[in-house]
Amino acid sequence: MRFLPDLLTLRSHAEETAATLPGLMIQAEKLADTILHGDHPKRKAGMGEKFWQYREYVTGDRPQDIDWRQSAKSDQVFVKQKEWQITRQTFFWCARGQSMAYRASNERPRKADYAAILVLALAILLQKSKEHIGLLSEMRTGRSDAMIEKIGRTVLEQTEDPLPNSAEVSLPKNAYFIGAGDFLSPIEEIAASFHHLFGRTENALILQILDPAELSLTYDGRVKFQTMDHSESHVIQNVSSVRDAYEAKIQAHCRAIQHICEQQGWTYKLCVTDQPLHSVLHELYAQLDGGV
Amino acid sequence: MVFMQPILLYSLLGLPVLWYILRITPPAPRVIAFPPARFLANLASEQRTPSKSPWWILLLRLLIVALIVIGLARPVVNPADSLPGYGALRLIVDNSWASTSIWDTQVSAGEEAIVQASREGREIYITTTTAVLGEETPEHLGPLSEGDALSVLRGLQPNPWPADYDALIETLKEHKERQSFHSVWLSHGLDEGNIRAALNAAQSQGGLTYVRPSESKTALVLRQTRKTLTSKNRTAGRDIRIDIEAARGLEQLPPVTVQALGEKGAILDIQSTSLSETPQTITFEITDTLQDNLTQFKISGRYGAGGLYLLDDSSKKRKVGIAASADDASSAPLIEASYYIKRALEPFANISIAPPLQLIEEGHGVIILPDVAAMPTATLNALENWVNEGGLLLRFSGPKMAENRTENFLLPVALRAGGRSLSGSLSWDEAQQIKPFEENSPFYGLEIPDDVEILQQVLADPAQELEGKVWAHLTDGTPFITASNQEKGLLVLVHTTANADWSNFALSGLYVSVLRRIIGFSGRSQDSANANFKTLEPLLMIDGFGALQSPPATVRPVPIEAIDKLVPSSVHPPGLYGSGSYQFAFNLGTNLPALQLTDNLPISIAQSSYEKDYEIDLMPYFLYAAFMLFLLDWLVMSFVIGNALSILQRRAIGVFVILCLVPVNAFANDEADLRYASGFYLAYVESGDNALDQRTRAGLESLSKTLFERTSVEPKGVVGLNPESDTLSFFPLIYWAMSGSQKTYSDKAIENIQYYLDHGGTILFDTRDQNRSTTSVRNTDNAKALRRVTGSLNIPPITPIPDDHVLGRAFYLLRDYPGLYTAGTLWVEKYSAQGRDNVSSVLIGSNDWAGSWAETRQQTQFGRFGSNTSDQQKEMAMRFGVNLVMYALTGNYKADQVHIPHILKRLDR
Repeated sequence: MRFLPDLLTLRSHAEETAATLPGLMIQAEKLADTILHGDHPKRKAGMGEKFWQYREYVTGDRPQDIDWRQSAKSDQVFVKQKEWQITRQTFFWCARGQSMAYRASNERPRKADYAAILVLALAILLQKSKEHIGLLSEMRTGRSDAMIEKIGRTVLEQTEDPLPNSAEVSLPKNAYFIGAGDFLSPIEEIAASFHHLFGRTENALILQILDPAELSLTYDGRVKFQTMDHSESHVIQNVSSVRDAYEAKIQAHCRAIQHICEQQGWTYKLCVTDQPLHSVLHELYAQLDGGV
Repeated sequence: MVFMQPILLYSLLGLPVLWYILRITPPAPRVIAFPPARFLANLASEQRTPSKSPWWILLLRLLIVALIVIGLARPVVNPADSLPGYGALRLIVDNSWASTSIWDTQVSAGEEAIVQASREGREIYITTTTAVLGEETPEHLGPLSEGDALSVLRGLQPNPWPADYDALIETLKEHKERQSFHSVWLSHGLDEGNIRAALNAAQSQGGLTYVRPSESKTALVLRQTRKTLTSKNRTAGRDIRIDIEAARGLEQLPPVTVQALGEKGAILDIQSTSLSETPQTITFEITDTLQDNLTQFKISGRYGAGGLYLLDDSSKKRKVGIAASADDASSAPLIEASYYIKRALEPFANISIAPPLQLIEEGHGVIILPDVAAMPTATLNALENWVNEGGLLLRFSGPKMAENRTENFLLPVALRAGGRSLSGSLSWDEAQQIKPFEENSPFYGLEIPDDVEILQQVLADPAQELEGKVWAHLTDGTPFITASNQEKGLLVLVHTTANADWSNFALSGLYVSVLRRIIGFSGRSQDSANANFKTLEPLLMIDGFGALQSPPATVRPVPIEAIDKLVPSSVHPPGLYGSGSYQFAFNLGTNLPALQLTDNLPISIAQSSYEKDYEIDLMPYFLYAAFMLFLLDWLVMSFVIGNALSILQRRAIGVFVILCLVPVNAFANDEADLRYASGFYLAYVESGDNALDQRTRAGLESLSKTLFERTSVEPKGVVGLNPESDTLSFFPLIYWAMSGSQKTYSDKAIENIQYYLDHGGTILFDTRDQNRSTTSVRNTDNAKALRRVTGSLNIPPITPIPDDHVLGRAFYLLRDYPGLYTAGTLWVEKYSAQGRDNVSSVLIGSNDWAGSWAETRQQTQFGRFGSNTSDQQKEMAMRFGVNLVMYALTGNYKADQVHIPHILKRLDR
C-alpha cells in the first residue's frame, strides 16, 4: 500500500508515534544514566569558569584579569587564567523513512525505534554534560531539556528523506554531527549527501541501523520482495539460493559507506537491531568522548 | 448414466480457458516488504524456475475441476424413469395377501415414484386394493406432500385377504376431483378376480402403468383339499399332505421349503421341493403321536398369509374305535355298518375295529357302537366308566336295538320299543327327510341333500327333557340325532342305522360331515351342551406377514353356515375361529380361487417391472474423487515443488498421510486388554459364520441396551472373541451360538476355554435348533458342532434346569426360558462347584436367545424369517437375558432368597 503524503495523515501518523515519545525518552534516559558524564575541558587556558593557572602579567593583559589577592602575596603581578572551555555544538539527524519502520520479527524493535532511542540517548548524554545540541534541519542548538523534547519529537516524525539533506545546511565549523539511518540508498547518493558535510566538520558519527534480516536474508521459498514504498520489487524463486550473493552485496555496501566515512575521519558504526542498546551506547559514548 | 442437471456440463467448455490461465500463471509468490529489496535486483534473474507448471499438474487440476463439474451435474446410474403421463400421480398399491413376498420391493418402487413425482411437482394420491381390517372400502388418500406420501406408503401393510376390485373401482370413481390422474399400479402380478375392470377404471381417468414382479416372486398359497387328503397312495395314518399352489402359467417356479410346525413353533418336519407342477402335493411323514401336536404348515421365507396353513381340531386325527366282534365284521364286509363308518371317517381319524374292552384299553376317545343291543355286564360296566371319564360314545340304532326293549343302557334318551317304519309297504307314512338343523344344533350350517330319506328309525320316549337333547329332527319333528351328557362323557345316538339298511343317510355326504362334527366333540364333551353354534368368534388372526395375532374387536364373528364357502376379507380375516370348544381354522387358501397371473393386458396399459436396478446417484463419488485428487495435488505441491511449506506443515501432512494409511486394527493387544478390563463387556465367540456372528452381536447389543435401561448393569459394549488368540478372562459371561460350520479348535484354544471355565467363567452354549438335539428327533449340525467343541472340554455333569434355579430369580421371576423358540430345555451344571458362587460354568440351551434379542430391536434387518414369536415371547427372552447376566455377575446372591420360605419356616419353629 502506497503511503500518500497528505498532510493530515502525516500529522496523525506523527502524533501517533509521538505518543510513544515518553516511552522512548524514558528508555533513552535510562540508557544515558548508565554513563558517567562530565565537561569537555580543553586542558589549556581560555574562556571558562574553572581556574586554570596564574601567570605573570604581561603587557596587554586586561587589568580586570589581574588577581589581586595572588599578586599581593608577592611582588609580581599575577593574572588568573581560567581554563579554556568551549561549548561544542552537536547536530543530530535521524532517518524516519518507511524503510526504517521495517522489522523482520516482532521480537525486535523497528529500526526507527532503535535509531530514535540511540539518538535520544546520545542527545541526553550530551545535554547533561552541558553540550549544545540541536537538529541538523534547524541549525539551532541549545542545552535545555526543551531541546531534548524537540529532538525527540522530530525523530519520531515521519519524513521521507532517506539521507540527511545536507545541501541546505551550513554546519558551524567543527560542530559535531551524529546521523542515524539505514543508508540503503545507492552508494552514490550517500556519497553526495555526505560530501556536502565533509567540508564542514571532521567530527561526525554515522550510525547505520540494520535489521539482522537485512543482513542475512532470513527468508525461504518463493518470495516477491518489494521496497517499502513499492517502488521496486523483485521475485526470487528460491531465496536460499541467492542468500549468499545477497549477503555479499549488502556487506559490500556497508563497507563502501564505512570507506567514505573513514576517508574523512568520520566514525562509522554498524548497529544491528538485535544488539543490546546499552552496549552499543557505551561503545558510542566512549568514541564520542575520545573524539572530542 | 444420465445427468440430472445437464446444463452444468456446458461449463466443461471453460476447461481450455482454465488450462490457459493455469498454464501462464504460476502461483503467486509471497510478498514481503523488504527495504533492501534493491539489492536483490540482479539476483532475481539468476535462478528462474519455469513460469509454467508441469503439464501433469495442469492435467490433474483440470481433472479435479472436471470431476467437480460432472459431479454437480448429478450423474445418475439407472435413473428412475421420469414418470409417464401428466397430471397427478396415483399409486395403486396392491396390498392383498399376495403382496407379502414382494412387499419391500413394492414399497421401494412406490417411494421412488413418489420422490420422482414430487421432483416433477405433481400431486400424489395413494390408493390400496384392499380395505384395512374392519373397513369395507380401500383407502384413498391425497393429495399428499412428498413426506406425507412416503409416510403413508411406509405405513401400509399387506393384508391377509384378497383384493376387492369392485370396491376399488367404486373408490376410483368416487374420487374424481382431478381431471387427470396418471395411475401407477404397484402390483403383485396376480389377477384376483376381475382385474380387467379395475385396470380399465384406472386407465379411464388418465393413464396407467402396471408394474409387476418377476415370476419367481409371485405368491404361493398352501391349501388342503379333500382330494389331497383322500388320495390313494396314503399309507395308514402316517403321512399328511398339503398342496402348494402357484399361479398357473408360471415358467419359473421357486424352490420352496415347507415346515410342519407343532405347539410352540417346534418344527416337526421340513420338506423341500422345487415346484414342478401346480398345485404340487407335499407329503409329510409324521407319526401319529406327533400329528396330534401339529398346528400349522408354513412355507419358510416371506410368504405371508398364503404361506401359512392353520390346522384345527377337525384335522387332528382322532382315535376312533368301532366296536364289533371279529366275526361280525368278516361276515359281509361291504354292507356292514362298521365298513360304512370306517370309510366315512378314514381320512379324518385313525380307525380301529375291535371289541369294546380292547378299545377302552387302547385309550380311544371315541367309540362307535353300530346297533349293539346287548353286551356282557363286565363290558357294559367298563364302557360306562369310560363314558363317565369323558369318553364319547356314538351309537347307531338298528334292528337289534329296536327289538331289545328291556335294556336302555347308555342311551341319551329313553327309547320306545320297536322301530318305526316309514314309507314301507306296510306303512302309510311318507319317507321322512331331515329337518334343517336348528341354530343350537352342532350341525347348524350343514347342507342337507334333498334326496336323503329316512325309511326307519327308533323313536324316543317323549319326555320333558327330550327337546334339550335333540340335535337333529326329521321333518315330522321326531328326533333324528339325540345326545346327552353323562358325567364327563357324552352319549350320542343316531336314530337310524350306520349302514344303508334303514335310510340312504349313510350314502350321503352329510353322513361324513355329521360324523366329523360328532367326533369333533371328543375330549370336551362337557362344553358341547351349552355352546352356541350359530356363529364362530375369532380366536386368532393371521396378519399380512403370516404371523398370528389376537384379533381386534372389529373382527366380526362368522356365521357357521357361511364359513365353508367364505373367502377371507377385511371383515373376516383368516385365522382361527371358534365357539365354545369348537375350533375352525379359516385359512386363506381354502376358498381362494385358483391363482391366475395378470396377463393379456390391453396394449394401452403400459407395463413395467420392479426388477430394474435402483437409481444410484454418483454425485458423492465424483466429488469424493475430486477431493482425493485435490489432496494428491496438495501433496505433490508440498513435496515436489514448493519449499513454501514450513517443516511443521510437512509434518502435519506426513501425519495425515500416515493416518490415512494406518489400518485401524494396528492397535496393540494390550490396549484392548486394558479396555476390556476397565469395563463390563458382553462377549460372544465368533463362529466364523459371518451372518450368525452379526446376528449374535446384534442380539447382545440389544441386550446391552435393555440392561442399560432396566438395571444397574451398564455394559460398555459387545466383543467378539476368538478362543485361539483372545484372553477370555475379562468377560464374566460368554455367549456361544453354535453353527454347523463351527471349526474345531486347537489344543491351545481348548486349554484357553478350559482355563476360563475352571476359573469362574460362564459360557452359554446355544445350539439354536429348538431342542431337536436334546429330544433327539434328529441330530442337527449345530448339536454336532457342540459335541465337537465340548468333546475335549472337561465339563461337569449337567442336568435340566430345576424349577427353583437362581437363574429364574436373578432379576425377573421366570418360569421358563424362551428365546426365539420356547420348547428347548436349558441345561445347567448338576453340582455347582464350590468357590464359584454356585454359578454354573456352562449353560446349554437351544432356544436361540440372541436371535430373539436381535429381533426385538432390529425387526427389519433380521426379518421375521422362520419365526412368528410374539412380542410377549420376545420380552420374556429379553428377561431371560437380563437374568442371565445378573446370574453371571451376582451368583447365588439371589439364591439365598430362594430359600427364604424355608428359613422363615425354621424361624417359626
